[in-house]
Amino acid sequence: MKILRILNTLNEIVISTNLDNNFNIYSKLKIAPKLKEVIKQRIYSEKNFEIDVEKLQILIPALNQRIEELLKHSDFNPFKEELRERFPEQYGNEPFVYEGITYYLYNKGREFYIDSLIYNTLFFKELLEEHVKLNKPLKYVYKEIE
Amino acid sequence: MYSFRIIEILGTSETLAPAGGILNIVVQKVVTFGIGKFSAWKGKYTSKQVEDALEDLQVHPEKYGLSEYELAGLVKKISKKFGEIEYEILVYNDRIIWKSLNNSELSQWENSAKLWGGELEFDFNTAGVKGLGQKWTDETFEIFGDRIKSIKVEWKTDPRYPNGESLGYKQFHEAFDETGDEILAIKETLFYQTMEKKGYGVIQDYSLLGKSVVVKLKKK
Repeated sequence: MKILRILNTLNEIVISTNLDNNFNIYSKLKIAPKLKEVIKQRIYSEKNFEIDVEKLQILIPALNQRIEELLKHSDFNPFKEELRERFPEQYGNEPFVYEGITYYLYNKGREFYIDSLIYNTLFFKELLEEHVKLNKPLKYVYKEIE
Repeated sequence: MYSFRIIEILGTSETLAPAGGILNIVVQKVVTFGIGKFSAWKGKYTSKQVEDALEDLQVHPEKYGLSEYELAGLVKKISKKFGEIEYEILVYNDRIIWKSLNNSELSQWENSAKLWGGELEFDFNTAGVKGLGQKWTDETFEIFGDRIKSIKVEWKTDPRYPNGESLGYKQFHEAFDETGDEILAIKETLFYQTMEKKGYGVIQDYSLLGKSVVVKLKKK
């Protein structure tokens, strides 16, 4: 299996998955097609690479925009009122406040696939913010595993 | 035999119809499309409405033009025991739900297994009851059998799990920290070893993202 690992600013592996999954996080972002293509080429280059801080700064607002889109998605159940009423511990413990509105995420299962996309996008955005704050590029490490 | 064309014409306003009307429509939809498809229409009906409809379907199958035989294939209720724990298994075509009758901690979670086009997924929180997850896994395989083509499992840290993380997550990370090899780490988990014995030993895909690990297994 061909994979890419992404490191945090402490050089710990925080994301690890195949090349397609790595590109998926960018595929729906509203960024310049040229930038998207460059990232795509690097992801499939089967080599280590970095994304510099300047590009990360462009990606962060695009990730925010993606989160906003997902929050409005027709397959997303934003408040889960009925589920929370029946199973408060299960469905009421992942509140997510965005622009003053509290949404409830449930990051598990195909039924809640939008929740997982929101969770993943949010995690990635925070990872990029951490790199920008410390002025460090985002490091990708390529590996083939059996 | 099922009048699904008529049902399809009805719009979202049916959620405002009297309870009996909704019930009929909901049950017909379940009968026609299977419970698996039903979740795609969430927001339109509450899961309470679906459950009421299914209860009614069990009590009055004749109302829906179903024979006992057909009904048996749609909704089953099985009573079981595990040590002191009494529970019911509800089987709706592509979904299994475990309901504990005498353990309040277990009944706080909607423990379920679902088949999505042959891909099995679980959502268990067995409140630290040793061996129960294994028991429910075995029951899932007894019920779904060969319909299971692949298995997707999600491990994560979560304060609601006993010890704050799922067993799979703990075992994966211990092995990953030691070996630095994702595939090896997956193979070290009890979950993988159990599934391998059942014939699902091929790691089709995986993803590690923050505090969450997703693994897909398929048959050899």
